[in-house]
Amino acid sequence: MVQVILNGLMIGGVYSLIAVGLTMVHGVMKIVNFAQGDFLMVGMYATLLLYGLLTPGAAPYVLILPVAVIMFLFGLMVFRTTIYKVIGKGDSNYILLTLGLSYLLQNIAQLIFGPDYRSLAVSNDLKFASISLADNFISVPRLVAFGAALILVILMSFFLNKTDIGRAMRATAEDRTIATGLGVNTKVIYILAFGLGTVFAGISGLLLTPIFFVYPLAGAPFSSIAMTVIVLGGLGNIKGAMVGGIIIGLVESFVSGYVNLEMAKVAIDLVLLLVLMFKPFGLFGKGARKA
Amino acid sequence: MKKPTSLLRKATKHPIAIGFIVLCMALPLIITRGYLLRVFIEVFFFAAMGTAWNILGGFGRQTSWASPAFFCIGAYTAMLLNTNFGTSPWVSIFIGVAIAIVLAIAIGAPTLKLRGVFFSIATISCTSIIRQLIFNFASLTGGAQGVSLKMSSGNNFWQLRFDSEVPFYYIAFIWMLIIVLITAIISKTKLGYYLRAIREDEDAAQSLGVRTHRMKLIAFIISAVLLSVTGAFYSFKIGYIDPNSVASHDLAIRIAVTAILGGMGTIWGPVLGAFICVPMLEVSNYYLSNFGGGGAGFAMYGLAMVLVVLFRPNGVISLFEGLQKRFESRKANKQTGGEAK
Repeated sequence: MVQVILNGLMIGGVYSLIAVGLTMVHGVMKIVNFAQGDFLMVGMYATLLLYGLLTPGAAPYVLILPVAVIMFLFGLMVFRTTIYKVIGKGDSNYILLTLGLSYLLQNIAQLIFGPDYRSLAVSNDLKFASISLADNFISVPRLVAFGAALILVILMSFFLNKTDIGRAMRATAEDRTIATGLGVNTKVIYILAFGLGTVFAGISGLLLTPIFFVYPLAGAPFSSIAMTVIVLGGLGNIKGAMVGGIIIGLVESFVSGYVNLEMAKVAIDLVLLLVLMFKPFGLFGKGARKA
Repeated sequence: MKKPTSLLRKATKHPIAIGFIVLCMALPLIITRGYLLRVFIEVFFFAAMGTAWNILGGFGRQTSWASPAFFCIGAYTAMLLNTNFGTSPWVSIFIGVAIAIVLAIAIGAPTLKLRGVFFSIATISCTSIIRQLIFNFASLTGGAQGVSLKMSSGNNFWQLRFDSEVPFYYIAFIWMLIIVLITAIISKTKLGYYLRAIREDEDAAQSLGVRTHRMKLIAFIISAVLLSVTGAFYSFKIGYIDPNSVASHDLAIRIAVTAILGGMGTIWGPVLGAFICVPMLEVSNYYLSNFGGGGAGFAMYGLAMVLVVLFRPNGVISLFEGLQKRFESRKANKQTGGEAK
């Protein structure tokens, strides 16, 4: 029981991190990025490649900064070539565009790296390290992922609330026209928000490489989980996404612990549908919602 | 005597469509290679699915990703009844349709109340739930191993088993035509106009008295029924189904791309889209299968989707419409002696 809760908490932290990036992008430019999970997959491959080149043998966490930079540039490129053209053009445009991007990224990854399941060549000492805690075990990579995700999410929250750029970002999310009128360069804010969303996905990817296999479809499950989390927390609601991530982590770990893995996925999708039906503004009632 | 001439006049209004139908009907007489016929059968099936998706997705611009849910209901009903009880697909198609209608109401009634992206997210979840349930109840559905038809030889129309590709070519082609006809009728009826009104502005349509939820639901059910029947035919053509092929998110994307690339909300757009997408995939599978890690064909699907949304939101068919307009205006110019410019 305690073990199940611990597992859920650990993975839930990472879900929060992915979802915070996603919900922030939605808050600022009203776009739900269906390719968020595939950005995570790009982050995983980036980690894999950099690890082989720069720091074979070390813990992969030292690569956080280079991966973040790469992912920011990647996000910038994606934004400049595609996303900015569909901002404010209605839902169906960005849905089709980002789903197309997701499919494109998955298959480009397959094209470059092949369909094989790869894993990081870290020593088993790290991979299978665990801390025992009164009959229960916490795997160290999962604990690190949880801790790092938590720190990043808190930093993000601080950034949005206490810095000028963060306030400008929130103003843009509230009303773009008025924000522009008040002298906020909303174009820069868009780029920054999308870049940060991509960085969060990429860092989640990095944190997950010691735990999961890396393959072209590795990000796909996280896309749907992140979607559930942001709906649960209310679209655009950062704190909602944090709590939502933990809840979904717990749901997944309970159902997979007591029923099976297949039904855990069903449970997550059911949570999503139930929230959409009965709590359309998310659990915390602050989400931005048109209908 | 009046009728044939008016029919003829109608036909001459659509010379391209008539020519296309005649050409497709005659094609198996010319082509004898089984492989090429199989590609055409695939084209027709994807055209059928894209057209079915287009009813709600194109006319109403409600991008549903639940099409594989209905497709796999038709496929699994037909296959399971046949392998367990020997039921003819011609019978089980109707059982599949009945299940699809119930499922379409169960999924559609609540999710169609959602707008825009929320509807899309909800339908993605529905497909994924159905897929996981197929995996989970393996004793009934065969789980990840799927269901396959027993090997047999000889032609049996009642059981839809044929030695050559030609019968299925005609089944797929005629079924595609039926769906195109249904869409053409829908686009001319009130339902079609209501759906277009919903596409432009759902709130405005509602305030003008369109019962938007009911209209979307009707379109959703029609599309579900057509997909379910297509699933039954398709599964008997392939002879093997598993959750990853008939209930996957990939299939939802491929169906939608067919319609989007061709032209959303047009009658022949999805057919055109299928004639581009499927051969593109076949060609790249043939020439590029050893290029990199594979997947080049599917990457093109994704690229096509991105490019169309960015540069030609009305699909490839809009190119032809532009040409036609230019042609017509030139004709009009000639008739007026080039005075009006």
